[in-house]
Amino acid sequence: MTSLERLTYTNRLRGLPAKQKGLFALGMLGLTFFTHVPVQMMIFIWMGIWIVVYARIPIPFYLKMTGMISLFLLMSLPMLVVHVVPLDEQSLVQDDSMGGWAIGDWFLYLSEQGLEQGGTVFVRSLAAVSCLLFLVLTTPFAEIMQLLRKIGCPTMITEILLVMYRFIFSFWMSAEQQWIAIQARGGERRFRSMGFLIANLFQKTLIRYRQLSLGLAARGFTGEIRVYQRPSKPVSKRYLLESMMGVLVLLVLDWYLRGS
Amino acid sequence: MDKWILEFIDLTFTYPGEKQPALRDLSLKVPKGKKCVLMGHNGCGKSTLFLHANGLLRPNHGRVLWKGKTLKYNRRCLSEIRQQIGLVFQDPEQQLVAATVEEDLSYGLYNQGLCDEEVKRRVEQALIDFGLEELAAKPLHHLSLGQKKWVSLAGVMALKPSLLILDEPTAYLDPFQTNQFREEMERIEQAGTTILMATHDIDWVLSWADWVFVMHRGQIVLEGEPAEVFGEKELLVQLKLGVPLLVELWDLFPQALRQGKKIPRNVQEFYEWLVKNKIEQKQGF
Repeated sequence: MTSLERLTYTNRLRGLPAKQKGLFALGMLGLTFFTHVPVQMMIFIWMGIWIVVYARIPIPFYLKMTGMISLFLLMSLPMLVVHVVPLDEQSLVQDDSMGGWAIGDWFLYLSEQGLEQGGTVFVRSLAAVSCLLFLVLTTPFAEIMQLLRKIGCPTMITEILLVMYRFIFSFWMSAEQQWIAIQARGGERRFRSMGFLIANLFQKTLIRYRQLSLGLAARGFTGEIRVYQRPSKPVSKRYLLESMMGVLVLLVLDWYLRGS
Repeated sequence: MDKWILEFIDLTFTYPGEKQPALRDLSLKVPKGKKCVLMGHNGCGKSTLFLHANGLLRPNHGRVLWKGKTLKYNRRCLSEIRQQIGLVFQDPEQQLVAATVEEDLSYGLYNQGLCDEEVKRRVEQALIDFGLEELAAKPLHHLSLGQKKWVSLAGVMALKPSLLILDEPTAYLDPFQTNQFREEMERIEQAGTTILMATHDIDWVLSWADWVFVMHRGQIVLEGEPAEVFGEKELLVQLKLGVPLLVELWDLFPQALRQGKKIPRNVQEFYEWLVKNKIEQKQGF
């Protein structure tokens, strides 16, 4: 959590305006919706290059993130790949089945069509995830927020996001401090200490909430949290050129695939 | 009427669910344009009193007067008074709201209803005044506690309040920042801002303050100029507050020499007094 946050501030693409990165990520995300599997694979690889080579996000970190997400995707695949039919309809699915087992009155089998579908879903999801990861890993949250405000996202949502963002870190820090304190004072029994920690954190969070509302009021809260918008940075021509060329190549490739 | 900027009259306040009142018939008048200090050991009700100043807490009895007018607890009056009274909490986490340093500085300014141009100008000025230029775009949770405190101070001072209330402002600052803070205080005071501060830094109180309040168990037990207040050594020791080093030193000199003189407020004054009494000193010791 904190290392992700830190990377958004230290990566090589930090200097690019959030607008440029956001538009690029959204554009690529749009491409993943209608292009073919080979193009989606290329999108995944290309975004990987942006993340790892251009932004210099450490490869192990990126692999861990995509790995974790792939795991979740894989967990949902059995739903698509494994089909169940009543035992007497087994002959009907003979063509589709790649092998199966009879369990009681039911026939459980690996579906060829399902496998194909699963593969398509997996590749598309992964490509889409890589587009979003690109934005999330290279752009500090504060800049994403500014982008949201600029494109007219309702203030209600941006304010909730802002307060949540502040709270996550103060919560995280309280948890960390408490845990260290418990350890330092000899709380060896992990399980009991954990319960203690959670109970304490709950209390602390309530106190923090009350304090923050006092703080907000003391600074003259008027019903809206408005903050200063940094003027946007100049658009990078080099990256703009590459992104446009890339999108063009992908579109041509997809059109070619459609024809064949 | 113009003499007092803020008055607390017979305030009594008990936190819900507590038996002991935090404030007991407390009266305190903050003189306009002065540098005031509120002393008292931890838990005597200083922070509670401060929360009454801009209506964050409402007393059970008594009233608060702002520039001679009784404070009303409706939305308009409260928002007006909160723009004129800058309150800096002891714990900076409590009042930092936004994601980055510059965004946080701008929060209070926008609440005052200033336009974008003016906010931008004032934010930039505050960044320069407080030496925060390099941290401007940093997220707040990447800062150390001392830096956060510094940002919270900058955020309030950028509002140019007519009364500045500070709850142990130097608590998390390092010596360098403390020095910077004192310089900043001089500047603010010269601009005509009234300051009310809670602090344990008694040596500094002696040299800096115009007026000192001593609080104990929800009441004001002593007030006056620093030299007078610190003259009451026995009472202060009894209240577990102690006295400045200079006062301790001063008390070591024979009564005859000190007769009718005010306690020197800083090392320079003390030195001058020593030089003036050089001969007498030789006789005295």
